Amino acid sequence: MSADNTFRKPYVPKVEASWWLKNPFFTRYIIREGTSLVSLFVCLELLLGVFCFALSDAHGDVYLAYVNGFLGNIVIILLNLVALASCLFHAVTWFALMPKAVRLFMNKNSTELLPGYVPHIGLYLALVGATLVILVAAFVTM
Amino acid sequence: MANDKIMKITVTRYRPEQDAEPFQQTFDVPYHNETSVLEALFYIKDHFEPSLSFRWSCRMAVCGSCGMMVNGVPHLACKTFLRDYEGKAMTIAPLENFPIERDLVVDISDLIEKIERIKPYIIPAAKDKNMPLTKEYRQTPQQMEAYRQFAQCINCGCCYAACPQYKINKDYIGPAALTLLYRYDIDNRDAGSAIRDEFLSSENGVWGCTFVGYCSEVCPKHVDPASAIQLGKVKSATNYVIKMFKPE
Ligand code: FES
Repeated sequence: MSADNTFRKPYVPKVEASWWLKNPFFTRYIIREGTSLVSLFVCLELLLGVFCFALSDAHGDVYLAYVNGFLGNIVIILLNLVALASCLFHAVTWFALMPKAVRLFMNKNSTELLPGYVPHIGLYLALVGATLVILVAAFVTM
Repeated sequence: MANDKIMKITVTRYRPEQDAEPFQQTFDVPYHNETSVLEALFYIKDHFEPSLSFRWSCRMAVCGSCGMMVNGVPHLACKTFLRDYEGKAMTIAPLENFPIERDLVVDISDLIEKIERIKPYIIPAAKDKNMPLTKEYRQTPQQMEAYRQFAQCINCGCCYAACPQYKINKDYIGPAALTLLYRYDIDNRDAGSAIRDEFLSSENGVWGCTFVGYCSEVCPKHVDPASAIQLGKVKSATNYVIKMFKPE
């Protein structure tokens, strides 16, 4: 085959940095991924608490300063509320996708698949259950 | 066609022999209740722009040739109807994430290569190697149902146009090919899992997916590639653990 007489000149469009703003589906996806930054904040906050606890004397001086001075700060309280909201947003969108990762048949011979709402509801029950366990454990050990 | 309604359709044009980059052209296209986007393109070709290029063949959502972006969303032109866009303007552009060859024609050879790469055919087990061609493989209805949905792919490329991971990393094997990989892996007649694991478990295999889920949203055949890929992750992780305890 000769290379002559070809007008081929495939055009490859550039990937724009704003590609995720062009489609609401992608915007929601990026927000979902973005919630990880807020989770990072919460992780560091908890880690700081553990350090303060370890550094405290018998009366828990450093730890109390952490609780009252740091956690009590209105900015930190607001940030924690944002973190809670974004975490719930992540959970809701992620739970909605999760049935895709489950493909089970109703029984050994059936060709009927387990409906997607079963794992979907299951995840919400697990969320409520885990929250209750943590809250009860927190109050019991108080 | 006196009673026809009119839709403003903006089409992306690109003529490699004379254009440096794509441009837009707008047409007033009359339509009725049954007019598909593909037919609208024919109308434009017949009445305004004979040089307008686009791919098509079956006109019935079977061949997978006519994938394109309609108002920014990947669609089969033959399965998309103007009536669903009533009162809106319509823009038609070539399928995203593929090199544009001419007008609405894109080069999907990368997709085809990836589908070939994952060996989309039944690889018999060693014990079946000499099975006579006249002898059938047995399969229960449930065994068939396990992969049936994933076998409906027509290679139209809509899922690649919908995939942000493929957009930023062209080495990612991508939704359709990974779905076919999974489809053959779970077929009880197939024994090629170990051979395909190299692709399934690679960084550009299922683990390249961040579960955006838009591929499943746009798939015109309801294959649900995102599901096959997540199930592929389960399989890949299981393989990994098994290998940990049972090194070859
Ligand atoms: S023309 Fe065959 S799928 Fe549209």
